[in-house]
Amino acid sequence: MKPSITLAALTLLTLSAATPALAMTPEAAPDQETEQAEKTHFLELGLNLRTDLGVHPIRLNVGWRMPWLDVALTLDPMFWTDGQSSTDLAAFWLLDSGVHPYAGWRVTTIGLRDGTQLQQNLLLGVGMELPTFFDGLLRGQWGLELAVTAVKSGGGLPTEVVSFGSARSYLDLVNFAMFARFDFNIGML
Amino acid sequence: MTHTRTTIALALGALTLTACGPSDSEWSPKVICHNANCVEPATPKEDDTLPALTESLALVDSDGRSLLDGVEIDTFWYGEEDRCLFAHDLESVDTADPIDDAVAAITDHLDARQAAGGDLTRTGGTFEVYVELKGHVGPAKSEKHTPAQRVSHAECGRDVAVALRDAATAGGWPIEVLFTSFDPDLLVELDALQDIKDMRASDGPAVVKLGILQGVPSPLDSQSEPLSNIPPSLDIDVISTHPHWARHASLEAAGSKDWSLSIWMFTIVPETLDAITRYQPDAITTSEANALTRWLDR
Repeated sequence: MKPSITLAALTLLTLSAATPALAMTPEAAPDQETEQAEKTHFLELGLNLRTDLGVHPIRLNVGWRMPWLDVALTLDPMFWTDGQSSTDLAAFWLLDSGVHPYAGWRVTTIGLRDGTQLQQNLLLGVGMELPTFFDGLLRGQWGLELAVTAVKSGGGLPTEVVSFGSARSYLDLVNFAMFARFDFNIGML
Repeated sequence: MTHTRTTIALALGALTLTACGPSDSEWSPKVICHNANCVEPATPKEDDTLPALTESLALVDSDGRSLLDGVEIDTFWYGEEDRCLFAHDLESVDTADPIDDAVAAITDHLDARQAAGGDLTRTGGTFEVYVELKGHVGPAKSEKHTPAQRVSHAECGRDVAVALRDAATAGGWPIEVLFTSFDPDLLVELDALQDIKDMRASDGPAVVKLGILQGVPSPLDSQSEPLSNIPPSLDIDVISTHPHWARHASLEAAGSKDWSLSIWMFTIVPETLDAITRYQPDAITTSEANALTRWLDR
């Protein structure tokens, strides 16, 4: 088994064990299920999984899901493995069709000797709703993403802004990726 | 029940963090200056120009150690005028310098470093000159060499190697010349020249090697050739590839042929750094020598 898959499974188990919604006692379950079904605003906790090289394979989602909008902050717990981190803030429009166009911003930090470079990335993409489990408690999303590194700064290096004057200027800065999200949705309002 | 779940969560979390741990490595790749222009900020229009080459060769860290293990210079055969240019393309053909001037700038730099008593390279090894033979002769990448132009371009490359060899002999410093091209036919033509044969058979002071370039694959771009198009008689030493476009199978195939791996890039992004970490190439060609060396030394 690939290490990243093993890590994903471990992290998912960790989250499931720690998620209050799944820790219901059998007597309390029916009431809570009813309450969950009536909620329209949800706190999301979950995983953002990748196989591409642009970010770490496992990151953590914290989000707020409303009837038509899902705002998600993605944090990078693997930052300490290589001195790099990628933090995303993205807004997904939840269309009835199950298609979720989104836009967001990613801040990537790259550790250097005596400094850190920041890379600011524009994110554009679309997510597709996956089947839900546990009466909507666990939701999934598969997505396609375009990330454009718009600005590089910091680390004592000159600030660079993406330019489209020559292919050599932007070819490495425009990248596509696919991802999968799995979030526990905890009814709040 | 709650305690059990908390314990399981903590244990799994600790196991996850442990599995994510960094690993140690003694690997230290050579840093090659891309297109003779690797002073930040990366400005492609200054690629393969004498000022950028001179400024790049002068790059040192705070201890005076060179940031580079070598430099890449592009040779462009200008078909319309039958001239060998030090140029990436024909965008600035009117101001392009002769390739001899680029060679002189490199040898002058090495002579000066030698005289000053400093290491010639970042890693302390032999200085490497990547000489790319551009695979087109006009504004469009699809404008390939005629057989006669191919011979002329190969002879231009040969003259670069001979000049570097003579300077290395006179200066008393070793040098490695890696001829690269997207077009294997140009390398075949070069490899047939007697001076190149002699240098490839010798132990120095100038060692000549051949490398195949890979980038955006066909049909998206007309430059990269499938590895299967490389004549078996061509004794390739190095594959130099762009990690965003390289297929793992191609790298495995190159490895099975004992080709050394070199990675080239335009600018540093997490994708390139991840590929460098995964594949641990012997050399990295970069337009950002300062950032890359500081990342390698972090």
